[in-house]
Amino acid sequence: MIVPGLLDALLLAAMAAFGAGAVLGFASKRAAYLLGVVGSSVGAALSLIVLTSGASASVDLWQLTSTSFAQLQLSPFNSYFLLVSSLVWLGTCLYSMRYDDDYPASLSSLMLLTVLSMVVVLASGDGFTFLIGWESMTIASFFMILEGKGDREGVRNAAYLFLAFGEGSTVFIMLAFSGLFSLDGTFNFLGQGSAALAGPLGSWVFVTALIGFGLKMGLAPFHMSEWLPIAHSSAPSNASAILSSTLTLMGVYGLITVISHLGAYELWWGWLALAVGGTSALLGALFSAVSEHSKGLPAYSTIENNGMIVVAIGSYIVASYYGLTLLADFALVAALFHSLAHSLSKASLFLVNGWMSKLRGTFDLSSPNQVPGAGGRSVGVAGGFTVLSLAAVPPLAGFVSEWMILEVLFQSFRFGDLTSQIVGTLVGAVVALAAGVMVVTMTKAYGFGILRPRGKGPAGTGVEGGPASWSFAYFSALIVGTGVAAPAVFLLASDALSRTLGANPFGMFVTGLLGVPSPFVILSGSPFGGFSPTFTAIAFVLVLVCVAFAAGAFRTRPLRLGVAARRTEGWFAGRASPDERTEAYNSFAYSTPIRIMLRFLFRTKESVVNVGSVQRTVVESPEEYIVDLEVLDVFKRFYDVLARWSTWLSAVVSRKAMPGKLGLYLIYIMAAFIFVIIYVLLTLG
Amino acid sequence: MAYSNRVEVRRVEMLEDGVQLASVFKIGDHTYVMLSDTKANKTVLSELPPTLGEEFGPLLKGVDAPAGAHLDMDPGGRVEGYGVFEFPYGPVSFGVPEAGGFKLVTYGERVIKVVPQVNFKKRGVEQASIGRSPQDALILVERSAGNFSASYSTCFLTAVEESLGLEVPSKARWTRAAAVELERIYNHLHVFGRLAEAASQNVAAAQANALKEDVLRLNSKHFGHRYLFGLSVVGGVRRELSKAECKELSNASRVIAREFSELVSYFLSSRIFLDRLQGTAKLAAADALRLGAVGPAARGSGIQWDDRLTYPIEPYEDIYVNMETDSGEDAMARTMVRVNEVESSTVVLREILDRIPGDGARAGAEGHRSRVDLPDDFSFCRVESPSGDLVQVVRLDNEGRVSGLHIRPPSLVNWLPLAKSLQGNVFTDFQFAFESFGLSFADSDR
Repeated sequence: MIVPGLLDALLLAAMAAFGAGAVLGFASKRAAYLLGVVGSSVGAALSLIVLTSGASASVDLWQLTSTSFAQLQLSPFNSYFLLVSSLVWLGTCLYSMRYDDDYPASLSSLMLLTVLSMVVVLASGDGFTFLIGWESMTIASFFMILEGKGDREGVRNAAYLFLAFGEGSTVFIMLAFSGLFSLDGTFNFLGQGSAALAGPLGSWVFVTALIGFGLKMGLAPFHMSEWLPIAHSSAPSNASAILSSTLTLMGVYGLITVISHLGAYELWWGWLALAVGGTSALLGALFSAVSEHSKGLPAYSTIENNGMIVVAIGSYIVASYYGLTLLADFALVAALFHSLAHSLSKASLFLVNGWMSKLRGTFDLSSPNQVPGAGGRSVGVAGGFTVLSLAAVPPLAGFVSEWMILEVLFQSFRFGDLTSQIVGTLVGAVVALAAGVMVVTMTKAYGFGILRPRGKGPAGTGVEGGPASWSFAYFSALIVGTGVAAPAVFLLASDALSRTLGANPFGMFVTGLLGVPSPFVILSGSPFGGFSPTFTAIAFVLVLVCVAFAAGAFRTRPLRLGVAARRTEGWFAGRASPDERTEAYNSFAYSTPIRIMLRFLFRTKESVVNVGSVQRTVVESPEEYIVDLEVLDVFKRFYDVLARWSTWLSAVVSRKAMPGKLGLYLIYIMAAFIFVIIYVLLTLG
Repeated sequence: MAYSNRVEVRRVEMLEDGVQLASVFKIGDHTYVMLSDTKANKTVLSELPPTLGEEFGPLLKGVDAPAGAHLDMDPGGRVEGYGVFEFPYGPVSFGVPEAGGFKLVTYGERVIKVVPQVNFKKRGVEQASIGRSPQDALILVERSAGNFSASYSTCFLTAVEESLGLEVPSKARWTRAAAVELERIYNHLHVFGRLAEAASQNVAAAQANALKEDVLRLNSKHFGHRYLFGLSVVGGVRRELSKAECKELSNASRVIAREFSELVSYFLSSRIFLDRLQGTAKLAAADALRLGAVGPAARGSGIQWDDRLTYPIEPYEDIYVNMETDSGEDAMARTMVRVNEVESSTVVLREILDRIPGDGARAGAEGHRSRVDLPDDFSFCRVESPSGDLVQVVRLDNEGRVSGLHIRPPSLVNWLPLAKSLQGNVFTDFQFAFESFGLSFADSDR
């Protein structure tokens, strides 16, 4: 039994902790992050209680209109997202205690303020509170990005770009909310039990919500101005982790929330979501693969993963349209689980890459990695599990969720008509391709960004023992744990979650099959495909043990098992060992084949210019080559034109309408005032 | 000798238009340079002019390089840029068929500069020959590059026999020429097979290899060795072809050529195969001339040079040889030169076999000396080996022993053209570029 009021108290306590941390940050960063850890732990505990018990928290703040309250509500559905976010915040705050020594104190305050705003977003029961949280989240993140290191001009541009797209997103969300408001005339539409919206108004809400939340998630075609990668990679690494994994998660939360309040889905909504998601996934993956920025790469990968989530949501809509409730629910679980898998892995990747970049003194993956690796085992291990999960290697969380999304698309043959079947199949192929490209990307991220030469590292580079080390261990455990024990994650919130979403209990997708006991197999809806991450993990460990046995790992003192392994020098094609300075394969070269093959997409230009006079001699004359390879964004030009037009327009407006005459401004203010009065009188009257 | 009008001794200060450097060699205290005047179809000999000395570096280095250390055939120039690194390829890697290497300067996928690395297989044939009798030295020379052994031995012996003033019977010379043509045919078939293999045209590769095997068996049957070792001796040949044998060989070669032309007709209709060759590894005619390309590599870029026509030793002055050239400048052009040469070599071979004189296989007593007046006491010969112009310069001491030997293998001078042609291509073109030149590390390393 839960003590009445306990949940409300916990919610307020978590928010209070974050708030206090935000204030304290200016005095002591460590104390602020410590409070962040406390707040996240409370948040995680609270959401676990809500998820398992099915109870919900609700705090009314103040009355908005006669029918609407500003309120905080925590249903099992919200708390799932709060749980995922809290897990990320906890690890990030731990990490920050060691990482941001050389950042100003305001960073900790801003980070906790961002986190607090996200709690408000997740817990808001009405549109007003949601927008307050959304706006303060955007603004706090904006200042957080401004703290980024490197080229000042670049960081400032990145921050403003982020702000511009953030505000654009707010505008569309407000438009979507205006539609929801018309449903029953209250703002409390984010809670449970609202009636369903359909018809043209429903389409209006869906499209504006997709644009509004899609902007925050960096979906195509909005990602093409590179705002998300630029902004997320310019911020300090701990801030990047918060932004890229939880800020985009808010977008997922918002989109699913709005969709859950729509009834009688139109088929084309699903197609639109599938198209947008598929495009985002593939483009995100490709751009990620060619990114040479140690934080730009994970940022593009965020777009890919959010694309996959939107694909799952689109499949949910299409399957629901055809009345395939089982498949639809499985798609929804896939979307939710992918959000979890992605958030954890992405936060971890940003933290690991941030740490490595700090060690190497550069964000450039292509620069030779000369920092030896001693004292950084936990970074390497966490990095390994992270990239394996993001590259969808079984049985980690990333594989389970991508497998689920692909299973949904494999079942697009169940869709009711040929067009939908074709759309589903095509999107499936695109998503599979994106997942394949991510293997290349993640290999690159690990091989060139995280893997280090053997040897003793410089003093002070080790993370053993510190909070950062705990954070890496924490993320490794979570990534492995949520993957191997994925069925447990499903069961944990099965009934509570499905009840809020009006779906089948999610636990029904977990069963036993072919001798694997229940509940260790995940079934993709009605008999189609199954996968047991737990037993895959067991098999994997057994194989590893065999390999270790063969390699003579158990020949040491207590065991004395196995045969001696033969050890030889590495083989370098018959040469002496390669010259690390001139012969080291670098990450740029690793992804250049993609740049060259897809030069229509990347607008790759290669040129070799000979500098120096050409002499007519018998053997080749000395020539200088300058390699210049540009990767241009296809859509960037479009946005550049848009930016030029709007600059021109605002210049015209400011010249004609705002010439700086006081009298004119007073007339504007008067006119606005009169307009508001008339509007209020008309609406209330 | 009849071909002395093909040689000109004069002082050259700088390279004129259409003149290609063939070789640089030291005899005694002098360094000479051999040039190919592609316009006048003449071999020009000159003392190394001081104005040109530096640029002949790689050719000189090749001679002096010690065994055991590899030698970079660096085309010069430094490459700078983001992500640029040197990709070490070979000497023991998949794709490089022999012990030889490359340094590919690249930023990934795109080949910006290639530095062939040779000398891994250096055996020092030239040094080891010194002090030996020509007959002993021949055993070393013809093993220098096993698949060019007939060209090597013919080239060496022609120079030696000229030095000794031996009157070699025409039949022996014609027999050697028949061997050289057979060698050309099987080498071209081999190159074609390698190209087909690189394009995963496994049936075509197997067919080409089967035809090559047929030629090797003919070699074995009529000349006593699959790779034509031991056929020639100083002053003649060991084997005398009978009329019946000539007829048999002639007919067999016609069958092989016919089967090959059928194979080629399939090849010309395989888009996959053609796509890999067309436009791959382009070598402009000017570069081919400047960098010293020889053989099918040069003729594929439209350079008109074939030792059988431009430096014809007996019997080539009496035989019609069609010079196969192609102006395509790419791997396809080089392949087509080889393809056409299989056909034309068969024609040449059949004419040789048809008209082979009957004057015996071995020289009798020492004859009179008739030769070009060379500034030092040396003789040289140029033979069109399957991969192009092979140059050997021989000096004998008073006792008739080899006191100086210079070999300028065709593969050695084709490395820089290969490197040049690969610039701007992608990694996957490498195999086609390499095979289309038909280069051999054993040949260039000697």
